[in-house]
Amino acid sequence: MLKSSDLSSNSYPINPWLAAARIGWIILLVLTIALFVQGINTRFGDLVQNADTRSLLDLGVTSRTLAIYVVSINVILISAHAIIAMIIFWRRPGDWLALLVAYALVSNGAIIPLSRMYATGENILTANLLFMIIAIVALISSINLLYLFPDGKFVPKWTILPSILWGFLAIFAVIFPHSPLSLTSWAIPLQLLMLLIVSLTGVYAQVYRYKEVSSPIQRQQTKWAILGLFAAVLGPLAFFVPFVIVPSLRVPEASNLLYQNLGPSFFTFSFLSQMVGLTISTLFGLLFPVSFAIAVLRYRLWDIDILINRALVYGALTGLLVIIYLVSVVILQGVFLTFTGRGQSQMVTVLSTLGIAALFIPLQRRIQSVIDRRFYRSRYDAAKTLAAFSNKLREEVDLNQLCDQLKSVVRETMQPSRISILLKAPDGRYQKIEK
Amino acid sequence: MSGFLKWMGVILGILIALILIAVASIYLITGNKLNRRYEIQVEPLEIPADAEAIARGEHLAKAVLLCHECHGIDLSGSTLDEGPMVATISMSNLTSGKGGIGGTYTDEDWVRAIRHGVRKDGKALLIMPSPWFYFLSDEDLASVIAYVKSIPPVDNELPERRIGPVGRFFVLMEPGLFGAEGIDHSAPRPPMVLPSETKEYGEYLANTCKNCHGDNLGGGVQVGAGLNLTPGGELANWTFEDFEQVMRFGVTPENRQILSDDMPWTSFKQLNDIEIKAIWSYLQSIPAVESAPETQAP
Repeated sequence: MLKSSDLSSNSYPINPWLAAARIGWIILLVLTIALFVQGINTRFGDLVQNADTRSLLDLGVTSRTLAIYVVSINVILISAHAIIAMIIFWRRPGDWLALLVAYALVSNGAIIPLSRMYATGENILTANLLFMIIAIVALISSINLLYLFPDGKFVPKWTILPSILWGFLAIFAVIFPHSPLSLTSWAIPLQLLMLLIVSLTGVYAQVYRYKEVSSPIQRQQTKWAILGLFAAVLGPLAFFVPFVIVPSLRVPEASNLLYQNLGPSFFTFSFLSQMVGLTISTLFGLLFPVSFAIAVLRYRLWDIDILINRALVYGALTGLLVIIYLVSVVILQGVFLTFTGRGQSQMVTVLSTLGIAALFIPLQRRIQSVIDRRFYRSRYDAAKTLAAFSNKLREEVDLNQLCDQLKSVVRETMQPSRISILLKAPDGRYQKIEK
Repeated sequence: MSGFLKWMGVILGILIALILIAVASIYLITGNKLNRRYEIQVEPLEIPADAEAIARGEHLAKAVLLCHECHGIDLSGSTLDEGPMVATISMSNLTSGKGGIGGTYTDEDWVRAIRHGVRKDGKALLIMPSPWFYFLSDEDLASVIAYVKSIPPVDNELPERRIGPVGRFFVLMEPGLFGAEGIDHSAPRPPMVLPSETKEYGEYLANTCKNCHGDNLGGGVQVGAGLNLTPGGELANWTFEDFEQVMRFGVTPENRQILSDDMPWTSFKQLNDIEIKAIWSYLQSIPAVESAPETQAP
């Protein structure tokens, strides 16, 4: 599907089935946006009315501000998915798989915000039915992308079986949620197991393709798509367990006595962690449209290796800092308890935080160096070679030797098939030294 | 291919390893705390079964100890669900119905739970305000147990206590969650205080007030914290009638209606005249505490 020569081409023959599917996508897009717009006011009102006012008061935030924040996040999520889907839809008109990506983007981008508005079943029948359709499209399209991307074929062929199974389960889960065939009626561990099976077969399919079938371009696309596919798999997870993972944005039922007994900071902490979770999951969700847009439209737009490098460095850095912070808090608490009789001191937090701040830069440099040396050997060596060459430049006066050394450095660091050096002669003409 | 897969594997591996190490550290530290077992030899109490004692126990449970605030109107329990990442905490079903502990707890278990904040299995009860119940006299505690044992069974199966990683972090940082930790379990029993209008009896009753109004009853600055009840606070300008109006009707001298969710005056209105006078007398006698500038109204 996605050969580099095709990337800028729009001249695909449109068959009637594809045309019908494209019309279906337009209808889906319009319905999704209409449903979202229709539900915004109610959602905003719910958020204002049902906010955890005690935690908000503790944080000095109004419920209206919270509502604006949550709705804005939803708008960003839906808009990003819809806009990128429209670009793909427009740029790749003759491509079935691009259309599947567009379907997946529109429906998955809307599934979380719409589930907050319509999944309760308290709305009018039409709206609930439309939500069900969008949910089914989201569930089926996102998982099938794992099996079908990037050429639109089931590779290996047997992946059609989990695809069909998943389709049935998704339809039952949405339309007949209480049926024994519905995932939602199963025990949570069983639900997670099923999701794991489907996701892992999809991951296997992608690895298999990458290894056995894909062309170099498709492999590059797959790298980007895998990032998005992680987010795509989160779509079904988000549909089935959102109220488990982020149950907040509701009035806490704790009496003031319980609130005081447990401590306001517990509830505020809980509220904040849920807000952070909401924000991070939204940002993570944006990976889906962005990475697929790059994979489908312009796979060479950015260098994914840089992204992987940064993910390695900052992932390790964050994890290490968290561990150091926790360990330092525990140790300092013990020290303070021994010498002052009080383990809970603000001093512990301040000292731990200062320690973390002081460690950030040196640790980041150290990790960057280790990762470059371990995983980016060529880049690391190239950097070292260039540094050594620049030192030699200061000492070398013989032009021929300098040219030889330059060629040697370029060959070593860039490994080109040919090297030419153009030297400007005193008369203004260029002399070519080729090897 | 192999390079790419290696990178992805390493990224995932490092992240998962780091997350696992962090979570395991928290679980290890908090696990010790959550699973710590208290060996407490409780003093044997004779639990009465007469109607008068049960009525006394009911009165104390409803109007003084406020058991219903957490365990529900019929004491069949309730659940605080903040999600698996934070915590699911169940306030036990105290009846002998399905899911209740009433049928399994012995008299000693009840004493251990109410007075010492420790479960039947020896682990600490979470958010059980035993430090304030510790002062209950043997007679009053026996009456409360008699009442709890007399309530009709209610079937209500509650989820097990689950503390998620975020909640565990909070357990790590907040030592006051376990009432049992703040009690000297071997301390001698405080002297018995007979019901009267004295400040001593008022002090005995006002222990529960410390939950929201602070240990010195000087109020607090946190959201939902109670007023400064000392002579240095708002009560300095109140008369006994003002105080009684607040306790019985939830209406302040400024004619502001207090929500029962904020201050459980619907429970306090069941206090009898002697008890309200005793509490008032005690509040008048305690040292004045200067009000914090941003004290929240109850």
